[in-house]
Amino acid sequence: MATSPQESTFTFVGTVKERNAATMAEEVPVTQSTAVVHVDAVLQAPPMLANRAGTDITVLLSDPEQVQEGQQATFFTTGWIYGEDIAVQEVGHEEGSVDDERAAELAALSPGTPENRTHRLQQRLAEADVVVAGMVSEIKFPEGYNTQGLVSEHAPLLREATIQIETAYKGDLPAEQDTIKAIFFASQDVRWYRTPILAVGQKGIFVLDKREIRELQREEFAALDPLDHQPPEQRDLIETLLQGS
Amino acid sequence: MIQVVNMIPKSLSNESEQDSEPHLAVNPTNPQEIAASAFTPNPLGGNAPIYVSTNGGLTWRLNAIVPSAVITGDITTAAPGRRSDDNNGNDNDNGNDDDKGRRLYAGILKRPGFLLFNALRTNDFLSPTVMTVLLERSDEDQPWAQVIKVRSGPDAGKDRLYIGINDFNALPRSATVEQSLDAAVAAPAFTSARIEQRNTSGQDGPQIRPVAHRDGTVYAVFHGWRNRDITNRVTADVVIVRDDDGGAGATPYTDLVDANDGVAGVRVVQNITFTFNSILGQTRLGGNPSIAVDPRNSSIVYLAWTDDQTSLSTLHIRRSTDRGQTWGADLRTIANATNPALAVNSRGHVGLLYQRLTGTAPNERWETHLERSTNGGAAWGDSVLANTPAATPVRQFQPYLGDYDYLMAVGRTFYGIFSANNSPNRANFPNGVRYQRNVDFDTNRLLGLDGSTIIPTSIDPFFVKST
Repeated sequence: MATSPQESTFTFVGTVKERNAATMAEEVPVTQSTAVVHVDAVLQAPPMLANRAGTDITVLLSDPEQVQEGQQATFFTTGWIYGEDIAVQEVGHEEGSVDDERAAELAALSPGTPENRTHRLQQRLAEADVVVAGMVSEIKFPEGYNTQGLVSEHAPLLREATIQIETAYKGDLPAEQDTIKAIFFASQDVRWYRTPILAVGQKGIFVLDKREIRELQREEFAALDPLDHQPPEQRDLIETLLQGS
Repeated sequence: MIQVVNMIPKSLSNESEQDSEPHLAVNPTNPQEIAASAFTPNPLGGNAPIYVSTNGGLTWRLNAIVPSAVITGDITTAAPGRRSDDNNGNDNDNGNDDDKGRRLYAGILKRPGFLLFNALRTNDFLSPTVMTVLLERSDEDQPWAQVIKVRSGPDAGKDRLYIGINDFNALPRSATVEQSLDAAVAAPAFTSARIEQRNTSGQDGPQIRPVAHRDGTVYAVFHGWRNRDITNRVTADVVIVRDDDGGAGATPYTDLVDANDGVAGVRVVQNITFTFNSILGQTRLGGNPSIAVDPRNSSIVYLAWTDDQTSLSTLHIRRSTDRGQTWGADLRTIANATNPALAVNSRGHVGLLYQRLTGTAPNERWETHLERSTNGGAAWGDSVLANTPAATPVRQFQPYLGDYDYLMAVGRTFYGIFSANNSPNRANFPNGVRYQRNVDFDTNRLLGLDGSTIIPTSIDPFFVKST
């Protein structure tokens, strides 16, 4: 069976104790696709499931024919039902336990861990078009932005930050270029609040993409990922990650 | 009797998310089965969750079946139930009744995406099967789902689904009802009923609220925005439209004509003002209309809205007994109030859920009230469901409490949902409260799954049932 570790948020080595069963019988619809699995070892987990080894958990199997009672497998799962306990939904599995190298890779994917945060930042730096250290010197409405445009509670509220470049780490910027403009969203709506909201005087490392901005109908550099502003104390880590990429 | 339940399940005792903007759908055939929603993320990623209960709201769990990454951008739900209320399992829905009475519709803004409207359906909201996408459209805002099962006549058994939405593809008259008059079939057809007939400031307000009656009458209320200045100060009409044939005709929602200008859509009140996205007690404001129709008589309609007439957000309640043609004076006028939700039960009693800011900073409080009237709004009995600090927790995002909460009635019982500060303090819940997550009422602390770690206060959804 194809595994989907990229989708998985809870990956564990488990032994199938009972098919057509559930640990939360009153909360989980027991079908031929549900199984009680003993968690032998947790490989990747958010903090809420990090201590789950040694317990039983209900798994909604993606293909019950592929799993037998007594079988040990590495289960890749996401969340399904949260009640008295948690039941998870399989997105893939591998026979037996993965090797140590793979286990270490999976551990680095555990949300909330320092390793995961570093891993995600490294990925983001690798994707970015431009990475600079500097300070925000000005914020204004982008040229051509209709401040009297459509009103929605979810409107992103575009702003343009001018960043004084102290060090350019990545990107094809001319040597003499000492500023760069970046679009960001000033909205505090649930849709956008995790994106960086920049302020004049703010220092740090800015991670930018060149992308089409629909409201402006042109491409601009933008800081729209939650990781796109990093505080100055992250500078050493970012330099290390950029050197390694 | 009033029952208030904190809806966060025990397994999520560690959570401190801002679970705001709640909505609710009670299976009208079996009110023990309830679905609900809020800005609650799936803690393990994957599909967004809904809350479900199978014991009338006493306990809740999350079922991650909404095809949106982790969370939605907006969500409302609606349940049609079966054609008959006997709950005996008979298949009497013209072949559509494969749903165990647990069919659920939802209108969401899908993530990733921005204003990416999806109409969804599941035939069993307790099942693990991910909801089916019935319709997907871009640039539509704040879906508000309502559904009704046709009980008799040639369309008996059909689900009529009405989703109020602010459609930016229809500017400048954006108020719209996306509707399917047979939503239970495999591939339902949808039409976009444009319900704004007058000139606007460029768009209407985001809240378009339909409500359907079993006799085929459908009402919808919206804010017709007539002017907006650079500070987002809005001048609006509160407009109500009506369709007497379930929205099925060639010119839907034109059965109610304003006597003053002869245009479809009665302006219940004109030129109200408010500032869109202004802040009251950490939560944003936007107008907040609500509408309810008497299940015994579709001529009786109740309406709520807010403006800044005498306070930053003044709530008004009015009533019409002639199918929306004329409206009396305010039945209730409440200062510093938001999130009104109206419902009428099978005895014609009207319920009003709302949230009101009291006190002075920094000691302001959010009071959540459920008022009931047995005499058409002449007199009201008031129950305070929650009285919680307004300054804590600090807002993570907007909306802090929600751009709406919700109240509905099945039979004589009112079912509601609201979001509030979740500190486990009995003094904050004068009508009592039940928690599923770990708490210590003696120290007024939330406790983690281990029973000892102190968890910070956050915003949780609360279910309320009033019998």
